[in-house]
Amino acid sequence: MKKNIVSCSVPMVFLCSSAWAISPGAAGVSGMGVTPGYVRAVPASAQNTAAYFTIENTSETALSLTGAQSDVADSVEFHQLLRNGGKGKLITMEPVASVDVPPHGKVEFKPMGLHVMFVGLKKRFFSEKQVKLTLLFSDGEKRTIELPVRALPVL
Amino acid sequence: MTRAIERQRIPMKAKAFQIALMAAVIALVSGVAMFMVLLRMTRAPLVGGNFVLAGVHGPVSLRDFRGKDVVLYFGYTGCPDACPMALGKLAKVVRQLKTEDQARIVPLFVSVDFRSDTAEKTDQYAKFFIKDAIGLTGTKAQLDEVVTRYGSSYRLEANQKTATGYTVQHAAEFYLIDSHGALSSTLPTELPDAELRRELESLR
Repeated sequence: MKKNIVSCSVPMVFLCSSAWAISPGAAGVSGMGVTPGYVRAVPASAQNTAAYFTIENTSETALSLTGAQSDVADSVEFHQLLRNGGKGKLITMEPVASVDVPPHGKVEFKPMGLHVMFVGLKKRFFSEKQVKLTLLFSDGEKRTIELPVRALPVL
Repeated sequence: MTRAIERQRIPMKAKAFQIALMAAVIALVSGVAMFMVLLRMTRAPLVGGNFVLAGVHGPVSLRDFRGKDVVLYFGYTGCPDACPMALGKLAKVVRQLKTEDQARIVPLFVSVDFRSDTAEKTDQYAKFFIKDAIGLTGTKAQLDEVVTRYGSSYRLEANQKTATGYTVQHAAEFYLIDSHGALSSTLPTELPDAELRRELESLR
């Protein structure tokens, strides 16, 4: 932490303060900042959807995202898009148990990469405009974020 | 007498030469033809062709779309990331085309998840992302045949790390089929918009 403050010399002040702005950090216990993204709007025929956001570890120690909860889906998982290649250039979503964020590192949950997977959407998801997502970190911290449900433009 | 024989021999020799020449020409032509066939096979192993799958109102075949250009994509309705991204890109690029070009394109979304998807579910899913898209699915045998025809593949794999109990591997490609039903090109879904647009414009 001391090192972090030292590195906030004159040109760095703005950057550091903006990093803190997105990481309220429950009484400074966790150095994890979360920038909310969105949840993809899907039709009622779809059983799953994906959530996107960015997490940033502003601390000196490695942290990881160990779980997630939401009341709009039966199960909330982390899925990584894998390119398996072969005929058709196959892709798949591989479930991962946890996501590591190195000290002063950042992990982006984004399309065609890593996403939070809402498996088994409950009926009421389809009428929601905002979805609550609780993230569980390796240091015991729980952080609840609100994500807007966003649709792709339709032709 | 010997002269007479000689006279006879000359035209016989000429005839033999003619036959030999013809044989050589035939051999050359067939050799070139075979070489071209082999070249085509190595260059374009994809054959494409007709297929029959399940649609909302019964069987749908590629032939039903003669006169239209088809963009074929293999996905599944439980796909919240790659499939919406691919369909969203296609929708965006088609919208950039001239109105008459837009009208000749039929996006076909084929679900390879024969375990969970129905034609109704697949069609509803596809139309959510592209209004004019058509969603189809099929039996395992039907899906196996169409992916093989188009040089594609898919795989449903048991996986206890996810609540659904299995994962779906599917192609990250668009298969462009011209108005005569011939496979025109196979493109990665992550192709830049401008290139996909050029390919769609050059279909016809």
